[in-house]
Amino acid sequence: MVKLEMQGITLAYGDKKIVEDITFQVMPGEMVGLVGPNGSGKSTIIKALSRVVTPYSGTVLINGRDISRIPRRELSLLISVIPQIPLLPSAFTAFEIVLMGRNPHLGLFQYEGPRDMDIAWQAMEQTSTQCLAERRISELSGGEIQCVVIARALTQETQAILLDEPTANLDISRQIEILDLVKGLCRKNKLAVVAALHDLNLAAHYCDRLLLINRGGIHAEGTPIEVINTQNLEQVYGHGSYVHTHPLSGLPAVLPRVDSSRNSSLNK
Amino acid sequence: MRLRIVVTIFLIVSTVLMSFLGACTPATEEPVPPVQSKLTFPVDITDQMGRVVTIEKMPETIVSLSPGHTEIVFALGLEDRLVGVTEFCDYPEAAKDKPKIGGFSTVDIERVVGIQPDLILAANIHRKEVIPELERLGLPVVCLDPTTLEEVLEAITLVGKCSGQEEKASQLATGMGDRIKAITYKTNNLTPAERPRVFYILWHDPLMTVGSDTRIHELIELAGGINIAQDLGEGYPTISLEAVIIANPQVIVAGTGHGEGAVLPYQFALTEEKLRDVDARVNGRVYKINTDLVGRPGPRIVDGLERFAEFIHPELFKGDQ
Amino acid sequence: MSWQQAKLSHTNQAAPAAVYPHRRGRVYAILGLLVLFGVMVALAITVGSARIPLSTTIDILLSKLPLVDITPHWTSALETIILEIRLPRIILAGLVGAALAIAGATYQGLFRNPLADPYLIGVAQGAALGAVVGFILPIDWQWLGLGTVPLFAFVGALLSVAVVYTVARVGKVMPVTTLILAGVALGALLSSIVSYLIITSEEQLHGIMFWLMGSFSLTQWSEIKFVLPYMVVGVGVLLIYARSLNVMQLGEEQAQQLGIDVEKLKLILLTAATLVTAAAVSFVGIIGFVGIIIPHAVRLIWGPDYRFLLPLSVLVGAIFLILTDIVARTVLAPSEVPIGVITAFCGAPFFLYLLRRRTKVLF
Repeated sequence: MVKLEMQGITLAYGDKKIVEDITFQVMPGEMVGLVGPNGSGKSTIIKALSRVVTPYSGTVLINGRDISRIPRRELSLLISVIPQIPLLPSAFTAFEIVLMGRNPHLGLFQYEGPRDMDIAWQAMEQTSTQCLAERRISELSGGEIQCVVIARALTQETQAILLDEPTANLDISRQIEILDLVKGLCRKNKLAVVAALHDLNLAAHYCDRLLLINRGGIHAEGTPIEVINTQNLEQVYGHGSYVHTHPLSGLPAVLPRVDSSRNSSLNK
Repeated sequence: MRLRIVVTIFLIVSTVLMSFLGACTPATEEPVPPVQSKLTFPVDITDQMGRVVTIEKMPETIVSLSPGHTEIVFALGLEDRLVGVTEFCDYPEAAKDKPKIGGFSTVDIERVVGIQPDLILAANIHRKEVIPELERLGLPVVCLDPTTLEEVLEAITLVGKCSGQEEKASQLATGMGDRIKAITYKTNNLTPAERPRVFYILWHDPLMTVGSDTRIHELIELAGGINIAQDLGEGYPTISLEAVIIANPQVIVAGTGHGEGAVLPYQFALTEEKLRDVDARVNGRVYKINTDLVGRPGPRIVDGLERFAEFIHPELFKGDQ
Repeated sequence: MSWQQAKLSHTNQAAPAAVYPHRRGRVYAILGLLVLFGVMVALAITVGSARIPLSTTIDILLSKLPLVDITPHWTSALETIILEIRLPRIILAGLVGAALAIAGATYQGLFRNPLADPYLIGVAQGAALGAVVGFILPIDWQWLGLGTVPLFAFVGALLSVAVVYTVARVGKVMPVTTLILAGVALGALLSSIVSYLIITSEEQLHGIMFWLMGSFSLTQWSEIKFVLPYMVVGVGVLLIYARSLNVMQLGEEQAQQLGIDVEKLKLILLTAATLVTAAAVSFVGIIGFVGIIIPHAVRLIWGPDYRFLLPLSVLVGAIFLILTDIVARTVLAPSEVPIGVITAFCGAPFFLYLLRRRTKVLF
């Protein structure tokens, strides 16, 4: 079980600061959503959590340890990442890609054994990608590739999973399927999950806590009901939407406005 | 767009026209002044490329485009008339002081034209570009291209005829002919069994030797030997070390040329481990020869022949080392 | 908590054998190629411009084994040809073919670019410059039985890559694109220096040109002794990191997230591949085609998994170059054709045929 922490993190590309002085925690068994407008820095935060990007200042801790001090291989046993736009080599098969998730578990001289194969196979079953196993990446659609990469992350068997817009290319049933799967794992295995999501409704439905990121900082933090309200949305996204309450779950649901006040904000 | 097409057509047409004009220019049109000489000039000669050239008058200025031709000019006593030589013309010593007109394959046409010589002696490699160019500029060019020893003697005679030195040339040619006969008299009747196998090394890496259409090959044959590469084809082919070992030459001759690597083929012949069992090495019959003696089609080629004879048949030809 | 205990679905199937990455087929391929390699070596020993009966050849080889006692019924000339001309040459051809093929495959994986070949970042040009300098300098010492030219070529090759690497590195990171650009630029510079030296040197001209085109004639056992350790170590290292090279195909970001220390891997692969290439080129000259096309041919037949691509490239490269050398030695016997001329001539038609047949994605 791991606990992820960001302390006073400032992230920048060159001199351009993306986010400044961010601090938050993710506890085991908790699914935290990062929401915010395009370009607010959600992906960059995910990259910082997986040590792909070095923070301008501040530290990222996993169970109290600074991740920049942890060797890559050990880190990849703790954290797995599902990237936003995965570029995959086109000549490999889906199964071979999923099997690469076992890499952190294997020593330099080791080859994948039957157990590794089984784990990969089951991960593909979880993500309904078994039928794609023999197909080459070049033959797969964007959505299928996304599911293959998710299966790969599951194969990594980590205690923390980071997801960067994992449902962007998927149809609604797949979106629900994947998020159900991840949420289920989160609960059962007490994983720490951070998901950057653009779809506020899905975020509200699945995440235990949300961080609303805007203009380089945390605009709001808390439960979905606390964070997703009309006032916050107006401040961050503008006047185009409003918050309704989902009739069955009681959770917030975001819908577009259909009155004159929306039109006037568009004409600004 | 149209302008471009017009200009292109204009350029093409004018180029075609100019080349036609160039081909039609006659060589010279000067009237012939009377000359003091035993010979009557103008004289028509057929050079060794098959061209018929008219020498209008006794040449006062001669340019040589090849070291071999330079040696011939000196041998005929014409050195005072020699006004241009190549950078490689180094024999006799006096040749080095003559004005230079370029390298062997890189003739400086401008400089030659500047001299306006009465006679230019060219070689085989000048066929394609240099000779046509000189003709176009109206200069008298004679091409000497001897491929056999006979033809070397003919070349000397030819130069004599061109330059009013027929008698001297005749003497030289006869003298050379006699020396050649002195050798062939003894070697002509040798049976194949009596002819040693000879391997001539031109260069060692890659291993290069002489084909059956070269002068060096002819020298080997005239000197009473058999060139192990005679079936190899023409020119200067590469040969594999295996083939040399199998052929087991009894005599190895290495050419020593100019420059840094001059002595390397000879060293190779003497020291290469894999040749240690070859007859020539076992019996210590590895020799070197200055490539100028066998490579240049001039008077010294008979010197080369005599050396070969000493190498190949020491029992018949005692030489003074 | 074990993953398998916590899975949500209730099936517990094992992965069907069909998706196991075709391991058995590829292992058989390796074994088959080993046999083919043996056949090729045998063919190469028996063939040459000198006709030597097969039985004599076998006897000569057998007599060199310890404990075997055959009274020589052949001349020492034949023994010299078999043991000192043909055998070292065949071995070197095999080593060089293997080295160039595996280096090419590695570079293609490292740069994730199908056009990469072992000479991409300046190895060949550095070796050429070293060789030309060695030709021109009047010193002629020998070290370990090796001449100045190959030693200078070897040093030149390593130095040029070291320069390229130093130029391309930014802090601890070595961006791959910068490496390629720096390598191409330095290579062009070195090439022009080589051309200039050749033009102004006149005398040693034809020797240098032939060296640059590649040749196995005059191979010595001492050369093989020098080259062998570099080949063995380099190839060994590359084979070890084959799986990591697979993961690198995902791109540096994903590879890092899967536990690969990307900078360290780049340095290791670069060094090993450069070492084997430098060793190959220094003694033989620049042989093209092998490093870029052999890996692609192997990919076309057996797929992109580097754990098989690398060893298969080693075998196919060795077989190919030994075969090419046979052709170079025999087609115009007893003359020899420079091997660089033959490699493309032999290999390109076959590769074009493979391309026509392809049904799957290449890279």
